[in-house]
Amino acid sequence: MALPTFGRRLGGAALLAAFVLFITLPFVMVLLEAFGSEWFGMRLLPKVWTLKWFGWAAATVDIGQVLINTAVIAVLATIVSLLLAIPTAWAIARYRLPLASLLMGAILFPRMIPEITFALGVARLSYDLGLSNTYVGIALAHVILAAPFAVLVLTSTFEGMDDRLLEAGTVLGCNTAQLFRRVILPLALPGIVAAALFSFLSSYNDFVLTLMVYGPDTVTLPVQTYLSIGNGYLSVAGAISVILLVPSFLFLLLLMRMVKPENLLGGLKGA
Amino acid sequence: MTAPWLEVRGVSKSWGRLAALSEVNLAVEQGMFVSLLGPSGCGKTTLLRLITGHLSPDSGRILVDGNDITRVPTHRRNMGMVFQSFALFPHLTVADNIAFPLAVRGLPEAQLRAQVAEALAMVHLEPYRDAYPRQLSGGQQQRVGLTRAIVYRPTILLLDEPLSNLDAGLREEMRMEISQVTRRLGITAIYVTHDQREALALSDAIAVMNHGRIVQFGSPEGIYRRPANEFVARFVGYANALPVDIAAGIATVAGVGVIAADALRDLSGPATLFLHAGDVRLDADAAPGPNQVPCRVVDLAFMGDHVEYVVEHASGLRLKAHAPIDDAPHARGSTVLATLPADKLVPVARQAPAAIG
Repeated sequence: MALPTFGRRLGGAALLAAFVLFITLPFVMVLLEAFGSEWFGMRLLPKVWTLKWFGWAAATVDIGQVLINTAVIAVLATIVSLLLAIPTAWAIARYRLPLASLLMGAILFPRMIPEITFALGVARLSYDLGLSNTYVGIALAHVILAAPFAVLVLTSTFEGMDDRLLEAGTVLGCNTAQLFRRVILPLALPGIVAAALFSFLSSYNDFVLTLMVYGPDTVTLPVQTYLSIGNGYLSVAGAISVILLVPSFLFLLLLMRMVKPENLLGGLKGA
Repeated sequence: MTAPWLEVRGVSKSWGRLAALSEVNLAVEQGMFVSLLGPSGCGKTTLLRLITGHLSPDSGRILVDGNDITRVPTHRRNMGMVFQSFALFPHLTVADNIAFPLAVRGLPEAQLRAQVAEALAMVHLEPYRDAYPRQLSGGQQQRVGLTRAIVYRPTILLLDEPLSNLDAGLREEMRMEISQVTRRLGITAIYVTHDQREALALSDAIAVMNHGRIVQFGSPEGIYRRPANEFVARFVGYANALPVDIAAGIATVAGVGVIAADALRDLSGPATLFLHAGDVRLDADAAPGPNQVPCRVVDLAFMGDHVEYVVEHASGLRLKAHAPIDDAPHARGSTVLATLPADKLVPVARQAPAAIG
């Protein structure tokens, strides 16, 4: 094979740069909105760099409360998602269930279709059950999105578990509860943490379903960003977007440190 | 006579229409080391898993010290097990792996630590107490596995091909370790293997299994010297099988002639005379005598401490012989007299081919 010539390398680099620019440009625009001021007419960049929009955001919106709402709902959704996903994934992975692939398909279905198609159903149930504008109601709506990923990750975790270790546990004297606590749980911990992170992010990121069931007491960060854009305070919306982005980045870093992305893909393929 | 420590009574187990075990009976005295020897699929692992309780039998009973444990769940049987794959807990250190069965039994912390320290010392693993299994060699891992299985003084120690995942050199070392530890503790052990040398070297008694049945049970010496049938003879490594016809106490090999054998018992009809390669004597020239077969050397291989010969009689009968290294070697193509000692020939009635595993 011929070595790439300088021209080809340059062409490749230019393509790559164009791709990165394309992906990052929306974020760049958000950052410019959030940190820039006096940005009128045909100027490419703002004239003044400032943090004042964050101050405005804090003054016009109860950012602290919105953060608390978002976090509490995400934690609730994560807990419920894991409580549902751990036994489900165990059953799919460890027992020869009839129609296991159909079951898996049904569980994944909500992630394969537009949220808006069942948003109406979620809204109706919330109102009828009196769960709209409550943490629990929004968290339960988010579980529809969070649990499928958790089941997927945990199924491949449990499938990969060495039967011999479980047998060793029982011969050595573990009853079912001890086996779960001393063997299964520690062995599955990486998978459980990954499932928890996915669940948390599914809830933290959700906008469409939240929009259907939120109320004045349960505004979350994505909804607040939308409301601020709607109010026309673009720079305040930019600042809130940045606040929204920070935890997402932290989680991404955490996830990448914990599991290699290629392993994660392998796990998804295996399920 | 004391009652057997472990008793398997008429145990059967089948998978659908496939019988994994048929009416198996086994009695093991306390402190005995018994091997279940057989090819893969013979039912030895199924029997082991029935004893641990990971499987339950379709019929029959299993007793330990006179108590029926057939319906007792695995975790309350108080047995120990060593696995082919080691099956150490990867999230626990060496010390914590060994402490595991003690912790599960709720042993007080101080007592637990003392017992773990004592066990680590016994198998010389103290330097590795804080290491994780993946940091150890296969041999070290299996020593941890053995220690974990005996630290709580189980009623029975079960070993499932514990040497199969080890290198040849380590295998012998580990075999001696298993032998020493089990005998020092006087523990009753059931050892599953397909390797007849391991079974012969370790056991007080061997149960040779085939097609879900115990086809012979006896001392290593008895199994090796007096195989009950063709399957056992071939499985324990008889290299020579002479097809004979026995009539009126005289065995005749077609195309060779009469071969005298001491132990013909009351056999008659088609049979096989088995003979270990080491019992065949080869001489370049010897005074003619009984049981001598003139042969040509077809092949020879230098094996370090002995020479392996393949020799062939004019009738096409081939024999394998091991000769000591200090004898003058016979060249390929040379003529030799093969002597088949009458007292070493083991006659076995020929079975229908279908019954041979």
